[in-house]
Amino acid sequence: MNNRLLKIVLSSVGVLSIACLIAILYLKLDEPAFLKHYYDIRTYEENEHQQEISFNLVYVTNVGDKRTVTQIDFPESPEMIVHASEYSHMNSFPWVSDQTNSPGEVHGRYSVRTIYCQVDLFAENIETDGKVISQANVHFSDGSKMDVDLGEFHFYVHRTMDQSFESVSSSGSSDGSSSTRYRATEEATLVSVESPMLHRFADRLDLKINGYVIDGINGLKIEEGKYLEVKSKLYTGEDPLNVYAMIDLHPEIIYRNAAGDTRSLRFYNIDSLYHSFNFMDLYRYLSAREVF
Amino acid sequence: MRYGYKKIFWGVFIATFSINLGMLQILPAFVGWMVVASGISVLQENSVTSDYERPKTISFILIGVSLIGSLITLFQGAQVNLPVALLFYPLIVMAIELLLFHRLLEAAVQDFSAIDDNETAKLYTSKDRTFIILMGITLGMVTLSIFLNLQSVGFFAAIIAVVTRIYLLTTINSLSKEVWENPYETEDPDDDIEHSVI
Repeated sequence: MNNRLLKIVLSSVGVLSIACLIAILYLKLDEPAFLKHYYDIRTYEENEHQQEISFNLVYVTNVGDKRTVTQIDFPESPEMIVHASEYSHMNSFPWVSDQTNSPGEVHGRYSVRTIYCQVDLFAENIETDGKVISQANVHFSDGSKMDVDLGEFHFYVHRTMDQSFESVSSSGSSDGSSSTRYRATEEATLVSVESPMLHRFADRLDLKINGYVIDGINGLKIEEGKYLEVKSKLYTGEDPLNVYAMIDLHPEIIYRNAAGDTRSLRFYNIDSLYHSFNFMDLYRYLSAREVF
Repeated sequence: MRYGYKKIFWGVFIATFSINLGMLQILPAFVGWMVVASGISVLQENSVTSDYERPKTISFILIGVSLIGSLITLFQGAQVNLPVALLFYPLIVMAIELLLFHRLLEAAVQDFSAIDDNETAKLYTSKDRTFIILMGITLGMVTLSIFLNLQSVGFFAAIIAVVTRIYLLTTINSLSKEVWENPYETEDPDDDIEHSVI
């Protein structure tokens, strides 16, 4: 009687564990999958700001992957030195080492890792304005390397100039909507909104300036003391690939000031950098990426 | 017999709660299984009715598998990616444990039947069945927690594993307190002398 029960239990567990093993092997990634990053990256003319250029890269790997990223090179800009680490630079308790365990958020069979990158432009006088980077060579702690299609990084130089607007308020929400208000210190006429990546998100971005879509702002006058309000909402849409895209756009509003000089003003409220990951969404995302 | 079961009890106890002294594991699981194996040897010596050869062989396998487990633990700290199949190592150990204690309880039931203590035999048949069911649930939960890798599932798997282990320990403990009227096991040799005089 008990022997029969034992056989049933052992065979059921055997079948279950074989099914789980097959599922684990199926869900296993051959190599880490980097999310797509669409970043406008601000650099400065003055040297004292140069060391502050930092951004995060996010990738998904297998839960048991003990490797960490130690170095990143950009083949399109080999002179750019990137300090990359999966351990945050901002550890408030330096005596507590978090390097014993693999870093990252664990979601089922996957681990979502963040690489903290700092670009060193201080040592070399590197021309960054207009530079576009989409590829990276990623080096791991076990000595392995992989070529990664990062997405698109657009570097630009932030130039300090007399502005006709002063920032008043800014707000953002986790649903992707955000709003920024400026007050005109003199009369200004809007011309256009420039951004190399806005077209990518045209179908899921609702961007309005003082209630107008960006194609309709040419000639829009903002009188002195009046407000310029930029409202945006980035929708996720149906495509699972959009769910986990890392986005940080800094579009530029081109305008003419009272003297008729062309000026520009960047606004920073189109971003999607903090995702709440979960196993099923990660599976859908990775399936859409066809990594299995 | 009582001494044998007491040894098995402490063996299981050590194997369950491996004692660590800082980084050093002073009583690793395989030591516990060695104590269990020696306990089974004691039972084998004292029982003529039952076959303890099978549980003994299984306990030796368990010692070997636990030794391999200690080696895996050594590598876990290292920055080495272990093969996926090793994820299922705890399942293999638990399945062998299930086989071992089922055979052991089966042998105990045979011993009770041989001395016509059918009531106790029935009791331990039922305890064996409960143990198999509890262990089956544990194995299922552990398999799921390995696959899903979710803390909540792992937590429930750990709770059910602890309940199963406590059930096993209490069963072995009660076996060590049973009356074994085995003609080859004399609790007090003086009793026999008195009987022979009378």
